[in-house]
Amino acid sequence: MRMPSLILTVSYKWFDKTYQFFARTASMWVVLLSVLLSIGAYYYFQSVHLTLAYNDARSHLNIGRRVVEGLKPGMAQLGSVWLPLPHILMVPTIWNDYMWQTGLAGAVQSMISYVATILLIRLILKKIGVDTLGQVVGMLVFALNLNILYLQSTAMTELLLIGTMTAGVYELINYYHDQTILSLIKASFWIMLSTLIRYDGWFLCFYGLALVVIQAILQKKWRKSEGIFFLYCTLAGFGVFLWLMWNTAIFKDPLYFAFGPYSAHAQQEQIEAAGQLITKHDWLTSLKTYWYAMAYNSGTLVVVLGLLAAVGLYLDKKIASKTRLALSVLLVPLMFNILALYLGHSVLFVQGINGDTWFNVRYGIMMMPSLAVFIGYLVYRLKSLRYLLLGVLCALYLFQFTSFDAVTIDDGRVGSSQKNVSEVSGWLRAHAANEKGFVLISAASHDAIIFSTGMPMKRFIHEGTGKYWESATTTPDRWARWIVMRTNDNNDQTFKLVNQSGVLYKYQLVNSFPFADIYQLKDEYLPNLQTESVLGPQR
Amino acid sequence: MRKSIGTITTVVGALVLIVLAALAISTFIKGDYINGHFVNQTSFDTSIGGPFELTNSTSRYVLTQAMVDNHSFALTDSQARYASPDLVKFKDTYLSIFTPGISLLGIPLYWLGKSWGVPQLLTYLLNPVVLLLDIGLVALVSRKLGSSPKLAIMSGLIFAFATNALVYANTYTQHVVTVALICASLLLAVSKLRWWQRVLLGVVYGAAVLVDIPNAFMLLPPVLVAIFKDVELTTIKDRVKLQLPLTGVWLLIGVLPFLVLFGYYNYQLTGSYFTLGQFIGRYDYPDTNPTVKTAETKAAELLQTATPSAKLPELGFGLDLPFESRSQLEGAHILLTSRQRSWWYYSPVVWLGVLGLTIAYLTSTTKKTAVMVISVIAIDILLYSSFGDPWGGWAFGPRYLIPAAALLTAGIGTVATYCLRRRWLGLGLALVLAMTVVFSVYTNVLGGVTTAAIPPKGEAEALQNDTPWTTLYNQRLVTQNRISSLVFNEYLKDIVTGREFITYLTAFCSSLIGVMFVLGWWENRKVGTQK
Repeated sequence: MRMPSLILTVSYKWFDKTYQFFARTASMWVVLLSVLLSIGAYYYFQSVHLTLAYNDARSHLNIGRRVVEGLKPGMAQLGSVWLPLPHILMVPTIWNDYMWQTGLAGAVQSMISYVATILLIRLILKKIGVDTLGQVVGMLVFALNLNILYLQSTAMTELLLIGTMTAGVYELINYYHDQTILSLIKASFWIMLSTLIRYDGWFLCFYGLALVVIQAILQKKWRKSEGIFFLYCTLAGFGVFLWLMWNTAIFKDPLYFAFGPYSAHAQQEQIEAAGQLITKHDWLTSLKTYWYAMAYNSGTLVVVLGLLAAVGLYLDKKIASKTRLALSVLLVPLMFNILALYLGHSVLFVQGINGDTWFNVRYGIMMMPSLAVFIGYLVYRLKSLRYLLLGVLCALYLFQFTSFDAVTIDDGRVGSSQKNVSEVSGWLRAHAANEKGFVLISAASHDAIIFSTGMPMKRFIHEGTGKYWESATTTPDRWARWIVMRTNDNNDQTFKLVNQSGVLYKYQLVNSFPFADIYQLKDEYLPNLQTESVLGPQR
Repeated sequence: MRKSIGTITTVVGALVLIVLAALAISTFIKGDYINGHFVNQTSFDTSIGGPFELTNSTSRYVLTQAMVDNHSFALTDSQARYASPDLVKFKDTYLSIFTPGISLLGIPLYWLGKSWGVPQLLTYLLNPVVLLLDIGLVALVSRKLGSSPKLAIMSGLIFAFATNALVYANTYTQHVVTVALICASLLLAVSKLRWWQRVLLGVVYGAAVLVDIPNAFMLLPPVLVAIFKDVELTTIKDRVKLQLPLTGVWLLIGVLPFLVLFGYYNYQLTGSYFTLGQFIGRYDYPDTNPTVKTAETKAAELLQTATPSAKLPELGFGLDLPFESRSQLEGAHILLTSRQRSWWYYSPVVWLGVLGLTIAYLTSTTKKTAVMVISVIAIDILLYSSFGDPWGGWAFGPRYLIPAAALLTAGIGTVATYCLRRRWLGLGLALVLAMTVVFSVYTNVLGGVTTAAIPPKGEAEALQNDTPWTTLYNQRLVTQNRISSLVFNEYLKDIVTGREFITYLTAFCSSLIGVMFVLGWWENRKVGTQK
């Protein structure tokens, strides 16, 4: 028995024209759709008040803000804890209270990086000959990941790092492919930027150097190679050089960022002392921890498929061996993170390994662009199974959205990366915002509180305010009407110094909160209190 | 003359095989005969090893009972008590949490059993009979994957005796019926697909949804293949022509009666055609008599009181599915690699099927079937690794992966055919197969004659009474001579010990598989010589 058919016929010319139009304007469509996704995600996460969930997001915004506003504004406020590029990029917009308090000043760069990374994934896939469907799947695997969508809506540094690293990777592949100096300069530029965002970029810089050297050895053009080596080192290593100089100039120690009192190293030492740095000098636990982090961030299926595809890609003789060698750079985040965990330079808590908590689990998202490239390649290579792959990926993403599975959000809401300071900042807003007087507080310990009060930065005396800080910690009663600190915790610089000053008796404890206590100067000492910024511009 | 002798031999051989397989399967039927009566025919004994040890069987059984005895889909108070916690309460109506497919299929058997005074015994015959059918269906799928006839039958036997399908054939659950429906749909999808085959595929799909909701996803690959099989994109002169035959209508005709029945079932219970019991949520019958509770229910209650869970404020996009991507890491581990449930420990022979499917995928004539089979396996693993309870409650082996096990065992015939045509490979395979088959058969025979209710590790530890969470549990029951087989309890109890019974059964089932392997070897040796 025959059934009637629906028949659709179009002229080949029209079909071809339409195809050509979309092929020509593909990048534009990718950008347009990515921008829409990016804005939509930001709008959603902003509406549910999640964009500032991370303690670190608020600290990043405050660092940017202090450059333009405060008792001692200026570039010195960039500090030494974090690399400076994200904060420098905030400067043009952070002066605006709305941009600062909504986190948009930091999110904008994440959003631009998100769009750029999607485009770069397409370009990398195109470079290795993956067809349109493979490119689209690769882009979607990255673009629709809920953790990526969340992080691109925040002032965190992940997306900016991912964007610059992916650009560096793309240009390195280009350099291996076409051997032009321009590609090398571009690769060096993007890698240099990534070295100014996070230390992951430094590893990429060294790995890139190794690739450049290998390329030179393979070519056996020694004189040219020498020049290329120095060109790469000068450009890509410029960010590292600048950072060492900066630390020398401001803190009199080029390695202050690595071993200073607020460094990750100092934090790791405390964690190690508490017996919780279980990955240190343990390859298996380091590998397992990062495997869990990747699986929770990207989805177990995506990681499994991606890594299987990577094996296929590196063994694929249809891709030139030099291109495959260049593509090994996609594994840099994996190598770096496992190595950093093993050496104890990084701390990452995941549920199932470190009890019932999360901390820094977002590090697992760093492999996302690489996994997207690998899966795009897999869809291209396994033509007979591509619809199955599409189906299971669709199901996985559906489950991710319906169960609102974003481990980075959990880390920001209930993990160790969150800090609910609404009570303490609420008290300050209610009792100090409309009164005269400074608040003495350690920005290193309580930046989230400073941010959440919404009060102008010039109302706070913190470590970065020069003479104000020195004066207020020796004679608090002359400068600080309120002191916010963790009583009896010498890690809190305010407590340590105020306690040494011996004038805490002039203050009364007005409230205690989970993260800090608030002290207020007793009324009888108010007449001697300085409430104006009389010390003039601080340099 | 020679041809007719050959045909007669084949038919006789097939009949002998069916009888022997049926004999083997019937040995696992649970029950006891005391004082001239079969136990559990009018009461619900929830003790370990009995037919009502798991509420996923009981809940379906009481629904069959309600439909026949009360002419209603709703459960009475006493039925609800036994179905709990696989129970839903909607307003004042109690309903089974499961879709009604299995309960509907069991109606004729229950009705017949009731008139003979053995309702439970006959109703539970549904799955052993379907398992026998599964042997044939798996063999047919194996043929489509490139197996020779004898080795295809060996695949079917491996599925029946060397996987936990054997254990679940003696429960009143959905698994072996699901396998039958999946295999049928695959066979239909690779056929020429005349109109009646499309209608039949629709019927199979509709029935599968009625048996278990996830089947709607697992049967998608064959259904999609059937829908898109005749789609043509051609270029004629200067025009591009897309032709979409409306053959999907035949499928719809097949599916529709089942959807209507499902809608009617839902409407009778919830007042809505689309409100499913599963999405309302479980209900614990409040005054459950402690003696009525299964060990599983008791452990779950203990665990709940031991680990109060921290609840996060709700976030999300308003659509709630039982599948969560976050669960996938642990789910995949539990189902595929863990000591608690994975094939490595319950049916290692299944993994040989991966090689068979790879061979089928790389062979142009079997590639399309292999892609479909791989798709169903992938969907099965994806769905249940994302499911909150990958253990399947108290269970034996990865019960949710029984459909995947069926399709992987179909691949064993393929790899065997490939290897037996290459002498040394054949020898190597024979060694590996012998070891894995005997181990797998032994493990599943052990489960089949004792219990299907092994607790997940967490619950076993919560019980604090040294309950093992592996097949050690079954071995302990054997040591205590607590065998659930009706045949053993009625005829063999005084002749052999439980351990001897298991040894003989393992030997018998393994021999059946071994005989088919030897016949397959002979068959393929001849093919090799001819070439």
